[in-house]
Amino acid sequence: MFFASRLQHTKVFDLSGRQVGTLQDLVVSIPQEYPPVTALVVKLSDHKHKKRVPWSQVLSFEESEIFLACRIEQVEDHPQAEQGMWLIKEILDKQIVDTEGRKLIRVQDVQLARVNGNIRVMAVDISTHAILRRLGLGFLSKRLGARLVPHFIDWSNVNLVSSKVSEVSLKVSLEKLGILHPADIADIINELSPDQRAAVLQSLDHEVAADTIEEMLPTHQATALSEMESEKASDILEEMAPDNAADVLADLPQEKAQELLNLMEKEDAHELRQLLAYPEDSAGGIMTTDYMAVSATVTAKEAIEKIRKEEPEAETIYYLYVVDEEEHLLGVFSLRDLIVANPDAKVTTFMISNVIQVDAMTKQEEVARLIGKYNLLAIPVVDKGNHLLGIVTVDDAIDVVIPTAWKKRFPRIYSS
Amino acid sequence: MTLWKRLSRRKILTFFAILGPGIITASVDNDAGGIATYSIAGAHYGYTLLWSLIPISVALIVIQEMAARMGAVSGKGLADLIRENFGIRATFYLMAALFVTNLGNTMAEFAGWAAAMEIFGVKRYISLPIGAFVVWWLVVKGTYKAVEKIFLVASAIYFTYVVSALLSRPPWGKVLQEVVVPEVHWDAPYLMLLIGMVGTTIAPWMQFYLQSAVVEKGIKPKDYQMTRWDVILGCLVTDLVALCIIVACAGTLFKHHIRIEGAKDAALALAPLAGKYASLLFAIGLANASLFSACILPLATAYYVCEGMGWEGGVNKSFREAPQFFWIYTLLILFGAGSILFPQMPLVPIMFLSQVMNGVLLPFVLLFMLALVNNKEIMGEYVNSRGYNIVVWSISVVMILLTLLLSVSSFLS
Repeated sequence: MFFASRLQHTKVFDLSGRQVGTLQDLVVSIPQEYPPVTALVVKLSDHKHKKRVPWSQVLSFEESEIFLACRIEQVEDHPQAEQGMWLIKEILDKQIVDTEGRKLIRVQDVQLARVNGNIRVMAVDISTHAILRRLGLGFLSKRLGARLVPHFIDWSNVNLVSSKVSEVSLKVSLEKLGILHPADIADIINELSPDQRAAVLQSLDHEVAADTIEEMLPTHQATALSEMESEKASDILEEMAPDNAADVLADLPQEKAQELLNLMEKEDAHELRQLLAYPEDSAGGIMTTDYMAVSATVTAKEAIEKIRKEEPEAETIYYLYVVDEEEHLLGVFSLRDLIVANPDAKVTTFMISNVIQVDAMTKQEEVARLIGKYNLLAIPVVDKGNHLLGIVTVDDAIDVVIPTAWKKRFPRIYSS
Repeated sequence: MTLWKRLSRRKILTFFAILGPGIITASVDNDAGGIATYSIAGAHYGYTLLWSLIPISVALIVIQEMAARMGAVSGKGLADLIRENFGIRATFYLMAALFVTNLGNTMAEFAGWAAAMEIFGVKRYISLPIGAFVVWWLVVKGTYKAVEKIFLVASAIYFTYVVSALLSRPPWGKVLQEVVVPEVHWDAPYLMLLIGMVGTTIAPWMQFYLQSAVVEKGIKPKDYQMTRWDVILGCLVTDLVALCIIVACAGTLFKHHIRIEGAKDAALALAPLAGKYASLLFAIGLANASLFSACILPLATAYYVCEGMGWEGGVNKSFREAPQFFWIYTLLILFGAGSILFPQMPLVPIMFLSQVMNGVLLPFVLLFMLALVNNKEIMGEYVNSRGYNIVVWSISVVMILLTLLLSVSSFLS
């Protein structure tokens, strides 16, 4: 078992038995499971040059000394492989994602082990014990008690997020991230730098990326999208809830927002343009255009079939709105009303025609108040001509009263 | 069409959204130690130290601009960059030094708070626990909107010093002349004070603070031009407040040959000369500045140390999740406020010592900043230009010389 930090400056001898330099770094092949060391970076004794010695030419490898299998002059520089990363320069001291603990951690040290004649990266040490060891104060940790024992994260639970990682390695590494809950991914992403943020989002599939962006800090949402390729960004926007997508678009520079809208499907883009037309603190600004509407002529059975076909999102399934051919709002009925109704009954027979509704320009606080007062799960939004435009769901109304963004931003308030 | 209306309104809002880190950093800059130093400068040397504000402003702008630029381009805090590029050893010693220095600074803030409250007749046994509680409460219980408002009001209270300066009815013609024409005295106390002014205006921890604030705001290199103006504006406001403090003391205390030891003496001595209100405003300014900085310093320090060392940090974490973070934060507040409770505790030397520590640490921080800001791998096309580097290097050399001078002279005295 070795620690990367301890291997630095290990003396390197060649076949002639003379010291030719010291170990500077280890090149590891990231795409493989428990990446093996493929080459040693040796700083030659002249202190000017360094040589990448392929692993095949290493005779023995110990913490105290390293012997090469030939003379240093015969060593051919190991090609700088695509997947090769320098363990000390590019991984040690950097931040990585721990998929098991679902958080961003700093690599205090890297643990390696000998496996079938290879040296492989086994785990990342994230303990304070590792800091003391590297400072030459290891003896202190015994006195400070049990809390300072090494704390290893198995390499299979580690994700590299550094922007220096080659694309191939990044892809392998980020596949593991996709299994986390979008809210967890968002927490991790919020702590990354902008280019890392874009890289991680780009590697996720559209749906996960869209859910992740919705959970991210508002200040980071627009930045992340604008750093991405436009094609990918517009795909992600299509997957987002229209009200959230409109909020993000409004934060982007005009040209960029226009470009993304043009790349989107016609219908989605049209909806977003409509949403963007309303002030952000009005009912129109917080409403979503995802809602279930049926025509006055259908029966309960047909309405249920429509739900099956359209598979609406959880927040929007509870109320169905009845509209005429011109989209005038005629009435509303709940999912419960629908299920208990006679399958052949027309929806107009059990709908409530005295609908509690708001105008698109109503202030968001008033919308939240009405939802609270009448215990609604959603409230329909109409224009001056009583055309149904969208709905405000209860979760978005709660955000008006207790914005999630503040709660999330609070920890760093003192720096903003 | 309305779509574009909304977007362009947003654009105006962006300016105000981005405006902020520089202004708040600047406000925190004029803390208890700063006010004490400027008061003494005005009381003992009249207007003759005013000229130094121009070179100090230039240095402040240049250094803060680098910190803000690094934040915008790298998206990482200064402690983070130092750890990733210079390894654990350098980071550990720097963070240890930052912790000790900021413990001194926190003590100075609470000392300033206690002194200001004594002017209003409140004993430190009462004012200190209340002050510490307010600091703790804002962090643990405050909501984002409330705290932001409190901070903005706190920033506005700095203008009490402008009023104090006006109340002292200074000869503005002479003030202006002294600002532009340097008049250097070559005696030791004058030089000490000069160094003190530089040290208190350009504090090391502020570079960490500003860079993180820029990162937190999510400012991109594209928006950076606006941030640059924010930083410049903030620096100018800092030095305007400094000028007003010096003027207020010079026009009154200096004219009547009143020696003072700190900001409290200045506030008390102002009453018979410039009127009760000038004195009260001065005291309110001191109380506000001390508490404002005491809110930010301990928390900021805990964040940077944890960021550099790779420990979990954040007030939304539990004590078990982030023990180091909470220990650092708690120790800073407990020691900071607690040590001032002792009646024998000499408040003035503490404030002075904390500034010496700032001065000693600053050159090291500047050297790290210069190495990072010129690293193409981090900064890309945003590295310093040649001319800019010459300016910053000369400032660093002057700062290092001044620091050496200060250390030597404080050892001798």
